[in-house]
Amino acid sequence: MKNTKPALLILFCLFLFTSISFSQTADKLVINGYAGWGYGKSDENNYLLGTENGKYANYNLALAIASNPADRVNIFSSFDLQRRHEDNITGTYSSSQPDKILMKINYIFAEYTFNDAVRFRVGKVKAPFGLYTETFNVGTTRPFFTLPTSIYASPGLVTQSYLGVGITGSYYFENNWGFQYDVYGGELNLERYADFTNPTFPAIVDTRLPDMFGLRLICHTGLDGLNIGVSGYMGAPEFFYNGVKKTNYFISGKHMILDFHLEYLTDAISLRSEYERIQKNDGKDVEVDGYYVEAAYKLFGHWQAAALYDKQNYIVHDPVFSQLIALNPSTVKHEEWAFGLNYWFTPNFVIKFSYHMVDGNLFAKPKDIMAAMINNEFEEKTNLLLVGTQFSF
Amino acid sequence: MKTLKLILIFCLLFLFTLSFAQTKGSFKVIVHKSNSNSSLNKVEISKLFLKKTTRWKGSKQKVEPVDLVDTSPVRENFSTEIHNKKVGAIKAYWQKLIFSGRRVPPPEKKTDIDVLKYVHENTGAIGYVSNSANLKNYDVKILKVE
Repeated sequence: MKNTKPALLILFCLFLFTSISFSQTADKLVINGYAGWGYGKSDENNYLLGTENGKYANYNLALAIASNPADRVNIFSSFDLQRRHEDNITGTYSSSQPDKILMKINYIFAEYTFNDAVRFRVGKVKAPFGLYTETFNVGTTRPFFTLPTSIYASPGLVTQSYLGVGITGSYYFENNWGFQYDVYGGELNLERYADFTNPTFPAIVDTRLPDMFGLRLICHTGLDGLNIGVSGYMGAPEFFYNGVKKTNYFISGKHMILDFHLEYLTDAISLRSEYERIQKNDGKDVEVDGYYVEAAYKLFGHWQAAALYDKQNYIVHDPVFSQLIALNPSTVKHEEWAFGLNYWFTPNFVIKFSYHMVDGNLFAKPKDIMAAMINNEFEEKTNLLLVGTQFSF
Repeated sequence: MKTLKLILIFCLLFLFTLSFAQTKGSFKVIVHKSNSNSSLNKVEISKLFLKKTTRWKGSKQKVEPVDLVDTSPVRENFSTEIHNKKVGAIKAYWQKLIFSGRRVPPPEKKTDIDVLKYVHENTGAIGYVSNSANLKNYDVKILKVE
């Protein structure tokens, strides 16, 4: 908790600064934000926000500031405060370390608009990947409190922003068809995670993907609300175990991540699905297939019922790593059903209840993961109850 | 004869009620007087308000849409007529764009007069006001919706 005060102080100063600026240039600066709090209780393993004893301390706050200093120039920035384990973003992994309040810059970039079809971006830019990376922690844009784990909790593969340059744009035809694209390059700093594969050498892993290249293409179909897209990025990662660069690591070769998505949104219906294919070292070492289907329906204006099916297949070809996994095959398995009921006071304020049933320990981890690894004792089934609120302004 | 009169009165009352209900949230789309466009179709107007199109046809001037607040019945009607969606769905659309660092929504004004002032002061502006709004004293004109 040592870093709480400086983080709060920085946030306060930012807020003060932006508030003053806002009052001075009301038409040039727009401030928005989002926040949330959730309680999670599981029957066995730690999963998402939940622990066996129940966990209340899950909350986050973020401010997004957009300014328009000149006709074709926009500046976008966002700052985030979260209470979570320092070693991972999803809270999926158990840790003996207490939670911390962490502050980070989600993105800060400048954009020059040549026209609607060509906009140049530079800085720490929101990573355009899949359906949700651009709104990763914004709970009011989705039916469940958390994102589907098969795609968005893969250790060392999820990122919210890239450092570099990109071009984005959109074009719409008269008949409502249209497309939106992103092409970008630079470095990805993937989300930090804890690696317990080797019980004698647990490690906090930072992954960087320098000189990477990525793209996303979304097609807005003539059927209003139906969008289909593909996205992906590739590069050769560098791994830092407990801060030290790991050389000759078996999965250091070229990574390629591909994602196909489909989204259908109406006033009442929200239907989303994604399929993700990951190949580490050209697929010679690790292959991952993840997919989910998420459906929600609004009833009587305010109530929303939701359901989710989520699965990931994680295949390791490396012989040494395979032997370790063979001892605990559930550590590479994830299959989940979830059901939710939400009450939307307004589109900006929602209370969410959800119940999750998980098979496998790829993301649902024992409280004492080291002991479980050494003794080969994993509880494969996990049930989780989540209650929380999310809001934006 | 009496019955016929009663039926006639009933029909008139019904039509009056119906027309009142339709007028309640009806709107007219307005732009600055200097705008060279005199008519646009619903899809084009929707794209302007959702910032899918950000430059005016011809002049290439920046489009500056302005909304009424989300509690306004005029906005509800505008949203259903032009976007073919409820205000809640439009709000959700904007949330995604705001937090992904792509676009910010149009400013929201409380009254017709506030919208008229905004369009009057911004040559690239487009807005909508209730049918009963008085446009006199403002440099605005009605845009025909095709």
